[in-house]
Amino acid sequence: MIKYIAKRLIQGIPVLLGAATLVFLIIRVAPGDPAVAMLGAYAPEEVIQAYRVRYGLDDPLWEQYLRFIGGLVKGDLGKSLITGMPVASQVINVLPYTITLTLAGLIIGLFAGVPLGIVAAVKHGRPPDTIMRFLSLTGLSVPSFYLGIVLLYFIGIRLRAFPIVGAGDFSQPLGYLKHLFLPGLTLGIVMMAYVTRITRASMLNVLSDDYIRTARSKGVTRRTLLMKHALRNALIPVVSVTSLYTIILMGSSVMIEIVFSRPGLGKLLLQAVEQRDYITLESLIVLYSVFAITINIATDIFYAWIDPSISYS
Amino acid sequence: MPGSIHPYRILDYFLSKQNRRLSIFLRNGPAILGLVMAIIVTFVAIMAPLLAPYDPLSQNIDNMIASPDENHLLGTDRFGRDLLSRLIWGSRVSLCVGVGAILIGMTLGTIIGILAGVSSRRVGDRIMRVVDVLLSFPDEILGIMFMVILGPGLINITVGIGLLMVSRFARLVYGSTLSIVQRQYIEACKALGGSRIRIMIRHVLPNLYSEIFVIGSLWTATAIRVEANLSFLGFGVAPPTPTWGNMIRDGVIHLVEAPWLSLSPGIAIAFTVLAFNLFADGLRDIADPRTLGSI
Repeated sequence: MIKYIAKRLIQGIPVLLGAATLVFLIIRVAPGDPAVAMLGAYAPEEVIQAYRVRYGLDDPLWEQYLRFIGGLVKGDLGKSLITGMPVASQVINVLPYTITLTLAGLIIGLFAGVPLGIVAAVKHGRPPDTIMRFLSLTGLSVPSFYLGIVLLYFIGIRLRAFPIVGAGDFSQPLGYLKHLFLPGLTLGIVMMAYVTRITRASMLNVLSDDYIRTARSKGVTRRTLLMKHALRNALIPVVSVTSLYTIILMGSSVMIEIVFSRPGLGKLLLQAVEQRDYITLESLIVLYSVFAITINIATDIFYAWIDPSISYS
Repeated sequence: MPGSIHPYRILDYFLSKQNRRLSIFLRNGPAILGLVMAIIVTFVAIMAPLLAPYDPLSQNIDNMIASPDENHLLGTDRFGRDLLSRLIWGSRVSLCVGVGAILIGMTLGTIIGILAGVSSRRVGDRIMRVVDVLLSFPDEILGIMFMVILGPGLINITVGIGLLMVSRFARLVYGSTLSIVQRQYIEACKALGGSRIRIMIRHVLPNLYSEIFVIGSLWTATAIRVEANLSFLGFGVAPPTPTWGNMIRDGVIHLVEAPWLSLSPGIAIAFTVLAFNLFADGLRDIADPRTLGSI
């Protein structure tokens, strides 16, 4: 098992390196000189040149590339072109907000989606199933930011039940949770739509297996049959796609942070785009892929752990 | 017309010989619903100049942020522009970008996927590794990155989302190609001296059509959704051209006093995306009857 974990981790390195290289190349061929963008078109040439030298924008591309990759290895994400602050410290400041938001979405989605999926599978072909199928497809069709605006309007503005702007303060957990409610619920509903569909499909597959028929003919009660025999196997695919969904949630969290004006990685990213802060931009994009790759590896390991039929080699 | 046929069976009678699959599709309620919804949106997009009661760009300072009434069924925005007309014209952008992006992604992705699939394992692995790197980013992040380089505009956002879709199609086609290449008739073709290009075009590609088409219609829904996302963030088609995403972006400032400005374009997005999702779901049931429902 340890060998398997080590192997998966090592396999992640080239992917990460590839992602970093790709992002670097794509961002650096972008039109627009960051120094000019920062200082304005009328700044004297020598000031612009001095700025370029100071931030290393004047060095040959390969030198900048090596510095970028070297920095990433050491966990140094470079310095913001705008504020001069290390990007890493900005990230650490806002990361908890994004992580709690994504986790909230994940938890709501799993805890609501799995039971709904089971109900749909058990009532296969009957009205509850049809309704659930239609609702989950609708959930997939509504863009997350729009769902956020709808909840913000009806629950936040009309009912005034929850705060709609900002993220609150970690020092006041209750206030923080209140701020988290609407954005978390938005992501939770999106996640629920995905989870319901996969749970239903996976449960239907398992329920048609031979061993379920055997168990039924042995006189196992319906409850035990579903919860003990079927659900355990049905959850394996759910776990594996949950990682995929978590990556989707990370993308949606960008939108949600904008809708609810929450601090977070997404907000930081869009700010960097607006300010043409290339260093922050490329570091943040690489960071997203670091998360995605880590989630994938973690899932593979978890998958190998819960399903003994998968070989570790 | 033979009188002995049950009314519901008439269609089957005509279709059964030529196309069994079509008749299965026609019995799939949700899929029909999706198709009808998609046709409605397409009709609205094509007929926009005739259907829209006003010019979507004409401003009216005397009638800004008006509530819905008989003159303006959905009210007006902060420049006094008729919201319904903008909504109708906005369907053009959504459909053009959605379908255009899929065509770009489908074409490039299929070429890359087949090439990787018929190449030696080493070359194929290398190509797919690059594809996997691209797949490791969330759609929104990759979309933002592409739009930063390309800049806003109709063509650019179509290309941007198209590029986003390339890796998805390449992954899909690669997997299918690998399984097709192992079949005996490919071996036979190789033994007869068929060139690699001939195998690709004559023997592999035709076997991929149905799968690419089914998944393509599903991913059209995704492309339309991503366009709305990017447009909402301000990366899409630039104002004043109406897109559903930038209408929501404009309207959200007035959410308290004029919620319809941002709430109605969202319904249009959801309707369109749902149309393609329902349709694709139905197609998938036909393409692979073994899947109990859908994943």
